[in-house]
Amino acid sequence: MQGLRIEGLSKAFGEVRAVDAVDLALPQGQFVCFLGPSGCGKTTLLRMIAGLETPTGGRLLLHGRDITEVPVHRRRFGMVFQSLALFPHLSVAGNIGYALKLRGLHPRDRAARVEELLQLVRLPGLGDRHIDALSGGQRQRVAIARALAQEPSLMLLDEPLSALDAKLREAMQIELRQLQQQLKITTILVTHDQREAMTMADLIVVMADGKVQQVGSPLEVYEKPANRFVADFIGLNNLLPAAAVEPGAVRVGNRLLPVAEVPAGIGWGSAVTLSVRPENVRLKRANGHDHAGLTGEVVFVRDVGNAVETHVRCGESTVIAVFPPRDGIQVRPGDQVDLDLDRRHCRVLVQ
Amino acid sequence: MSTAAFAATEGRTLPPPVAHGMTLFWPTLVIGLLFLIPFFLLVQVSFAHRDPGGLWSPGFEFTHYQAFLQPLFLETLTFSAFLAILVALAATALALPFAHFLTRMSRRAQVVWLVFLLSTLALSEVLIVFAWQVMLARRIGLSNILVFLGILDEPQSLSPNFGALFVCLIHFVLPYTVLLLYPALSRLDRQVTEAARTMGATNFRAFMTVTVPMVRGPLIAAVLLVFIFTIGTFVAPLVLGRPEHWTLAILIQRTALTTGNMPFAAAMAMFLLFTTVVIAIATAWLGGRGEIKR
Repeated sequence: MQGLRIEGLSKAFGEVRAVDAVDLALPQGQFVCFLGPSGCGKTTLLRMIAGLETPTGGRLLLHGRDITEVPVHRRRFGMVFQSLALFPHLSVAGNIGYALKLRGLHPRDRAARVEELLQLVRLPGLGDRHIDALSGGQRQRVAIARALAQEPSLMLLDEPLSALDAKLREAMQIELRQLQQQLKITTILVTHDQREAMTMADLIVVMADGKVQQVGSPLEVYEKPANRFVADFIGLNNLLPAAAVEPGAVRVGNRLLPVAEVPAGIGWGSAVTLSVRPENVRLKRANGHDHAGLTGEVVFVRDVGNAVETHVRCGESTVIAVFPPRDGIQVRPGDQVDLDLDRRHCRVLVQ
Repeated sequence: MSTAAFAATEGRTLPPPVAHGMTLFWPTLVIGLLFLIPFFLLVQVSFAHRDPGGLWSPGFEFTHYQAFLQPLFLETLTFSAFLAILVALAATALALPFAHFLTRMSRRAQVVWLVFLLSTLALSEVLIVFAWQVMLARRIGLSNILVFLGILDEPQSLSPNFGALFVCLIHFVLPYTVLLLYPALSRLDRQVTEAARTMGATNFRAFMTVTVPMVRGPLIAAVLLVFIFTIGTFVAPLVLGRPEHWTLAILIQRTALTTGNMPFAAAMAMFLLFTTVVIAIATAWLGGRGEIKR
């Protein structure tokens, strides 16, 4: 198989299982994000792929070849570190050309390649600069160019954008993604920022407690979360305690709500979680008529410019509804409202 | 002598001076006078006229500085400098990898080692020298172990000679060197060497091309500081060396007390002091400049 294959990879630090028997297949040329909260094992997994940590179990296969025992300096993977880890004693060109110098490339060819890489990251002619004389964004680009210098078969990024301010980070995300698409290099990014993962990834690997929770495209992970953790971690979500009652519906409180489907193998009456995104909750003022869906009282409203977010108290739980201001719905805390959940987007998750 | 260098490097971390009152004035004055009065006496004597009867008589002449050209002084100076440079380079070369591995140990192991190293500083040069003299002696020394192991036929004295002197001086300065290099090495970002590894460098290559250049300033400071320590050494060459291993400090003492040529001894002391101060200033400057920039 082309690409990287991870088979039962584990890493234990004493009693703690940082990475617990992970199986993954990362296709060639894709941009993959390892997404999860801090301490979920995503960085340890990346470091094992880089060769900076020794697995306590499992195998790594690159294009079908076992590379588990190959030392880090022979793997020829490009890596960008969280601290960037630029060499402070070398110039920009010295940093980018480090790998080329180790490989004994002629100084003339090295200079040409360095300039080519500087062009690629849009820093032409900055080779003579000292690292200290660069801005945060420029350092970022130097770190990326340095990792690309040895034409790596795999690019590994360990939260490299976390130190940048929000605006620059967004710009770098787009730029990095475009660069990856241009070079078609298989790339793995570790991040805890789901928005960053959604922006850049072809494939998102959601991780928690050292285990893979779900693998899928950004849209799949967002719309069809595999379990409660993913549903809760990715984006804003309503997770309502419910009971499975019949093939097309669940009961929330004393209301029967239609859903797309109830997964097979769930016993009738057993407790489940109903997951529905706030943008799939429609809200209207109560008009006195009996409403088939949920009803409740508005407890909080905030207008964030492009969306209005409304929190509605429905019995035991709070349901969040988000709609664009142009819908013209005017509600204030204290108003009684009816809620309609779009049944096509209601997902039933096993608890 | 070494205090000058320490004061210069440590001075930057001290809290700002007490703004009110003259609290610190008197101690400063007393310390100043205690240093300055002997210093000016030394300066005066070094220019005075040698009087074979009464040590020296007042005068102003450069004869004693011109006497630096005599072979005994030049040979002793050359040996002192050679010894100091050799010890400085060897001690730093030993301390660097050791301090590097120290930073890789567990927190607990690091603390144990640092406490151990700090406590060895309590041993004076004199104590270490006599400990080595005992260890190298014929009757009870290390050679008995070599005999036991069958390497030697019979116990023998392993001093005085250059090897004994060299080993003893290394023992004396090594803890200082490690403690000087440790802070700089432990502040290094581990990811920087890891980055070098991902770019194709072996551990050794990454150490030589990344770690060493990044601690270049503290490294040079350590070499110079050990040089200062060693150039003024007195007890070790006296006890563990042969007469040809005698240093400038011993020559000064002999000239002053045995030969009774106080002005020449004072002139040599001035020379040694001047050299040390220049190197101490250079050390402080390099140590400050070599701080890791982030």
